[in-house]
Amino acid sequence: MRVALLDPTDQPDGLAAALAQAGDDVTVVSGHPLPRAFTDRRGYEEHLGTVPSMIAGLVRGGFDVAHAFHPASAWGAVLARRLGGPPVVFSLARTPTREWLVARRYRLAIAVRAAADADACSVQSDDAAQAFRRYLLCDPAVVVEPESYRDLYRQITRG
Amino acid sequence: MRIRTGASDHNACVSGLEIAVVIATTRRETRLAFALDALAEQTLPSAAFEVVVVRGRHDGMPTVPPKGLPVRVLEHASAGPATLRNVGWRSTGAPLVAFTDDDCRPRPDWLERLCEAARGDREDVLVQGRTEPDPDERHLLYGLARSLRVTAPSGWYETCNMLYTRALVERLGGFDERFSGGTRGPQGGEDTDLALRALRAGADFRFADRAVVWHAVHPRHAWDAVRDARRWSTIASLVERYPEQRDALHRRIFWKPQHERFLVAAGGLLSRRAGVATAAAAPYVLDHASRYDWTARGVLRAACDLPVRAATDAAEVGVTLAAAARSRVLVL
Repeated sequence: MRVALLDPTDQPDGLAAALAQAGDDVTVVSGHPLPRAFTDRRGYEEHLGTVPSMIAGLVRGGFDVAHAFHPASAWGAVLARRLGGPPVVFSLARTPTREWLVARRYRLAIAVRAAADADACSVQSDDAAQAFRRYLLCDPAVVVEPESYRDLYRQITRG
Repeated sequence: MRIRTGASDHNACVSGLEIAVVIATTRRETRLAFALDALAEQTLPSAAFEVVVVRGRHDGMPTVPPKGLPVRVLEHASAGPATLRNVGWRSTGAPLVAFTDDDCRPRPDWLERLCEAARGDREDVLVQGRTEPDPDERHLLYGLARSLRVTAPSGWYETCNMLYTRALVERLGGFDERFSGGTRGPQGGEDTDLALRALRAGADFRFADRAVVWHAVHPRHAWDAVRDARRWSTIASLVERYPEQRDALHRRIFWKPQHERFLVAAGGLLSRRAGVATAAAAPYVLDHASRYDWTARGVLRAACDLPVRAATDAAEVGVTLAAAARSRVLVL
């Protein structure tokens, strides 16, 4: 399976290694770094400036699944899917608190949109799942072991 | 959930259901969750209040209210805030009805302060609380971002932070649903209309400075800002219905002070004389620049945003002017 881990990866320790060990072809897809400074300074959601080039990378890449770890990259990935990109997994390594969701311009809207449109969402704890459900309005899977992401990939690519 | 029906003494805010909080919501489930979280932290005992959420059109999964919060959720097909709020207050028997919006977070002592302010002998009371941009989002309030600040009686009686005695709102028949919008109807203004009817009927208005609600900061891009101008087409019809509402206007004509500056600037530019144009545009440009930091970056941002600000003001003035022509009143 060709897996795109989207930058910023913010990925659980050992995910890339675990996937590679299981025989998956793992690629880290990064967006263009230059616009990031502009968007960050104006209070926009971090990494928003990387979205256009990330979309291009996903559409051209021929991946089986795109795994995003940040609202902006997850939003970019769901936009890419509409243009022929791969199915999307949106994982948050943190608990989506109100303070965090409203801290940057458009973060809340982007996170809600990404969670609604992703093929699967995941978090790493039950507390995070509860907050995700309340604020991002969809039920995420709780995934603790990196190897378990493969089951998530299989579920969404099978569909 | 506890509901007591029928009229009761609204002075006793300590036993039984005394106050209902009505929230009309449409497609803002996460913001609603934040509002409900804030209501779950109220210092008023939970047995003394209930929350009535009236949900209009919504997509996807609804949010889950926090545990322990006495909340009822009603669904209604209408997207109009007047209709939704009427459904909300009519469904409760609480003697006091507080209104807030789904993009607001009341401070923990909000209901307690509102109840305090409503105390007295009179049954026809309306109380406006203080509204400020959410402190957690205030850093994003620049450029075209939108929030709300009401630190003194505003004259517009925004329902993001209003309380009415139920007896009063019942006597007035609730919000005028002709303000409920729709594709061609007027947008907004139902809150001001209800309060002005209450005042005309002799109701007692109070401002509760310590009953604080924090209003969300909504980022907007240029198109959002221009489109939002449509919301204010009811200003003229309010002035037509209530000529005394002119007192809430800038110089009794302009809905916002910046509209006056915008029109002066536009007039100066049309004169085609450089000196006149510069002098006429200066107040508008300086007012716009005052919303930004006086740093090189702030000035640059202000310069970049100026055309969009002008387009937004032009749209607002245009919408107000068209509505004023229909209502045959002078409002700009």
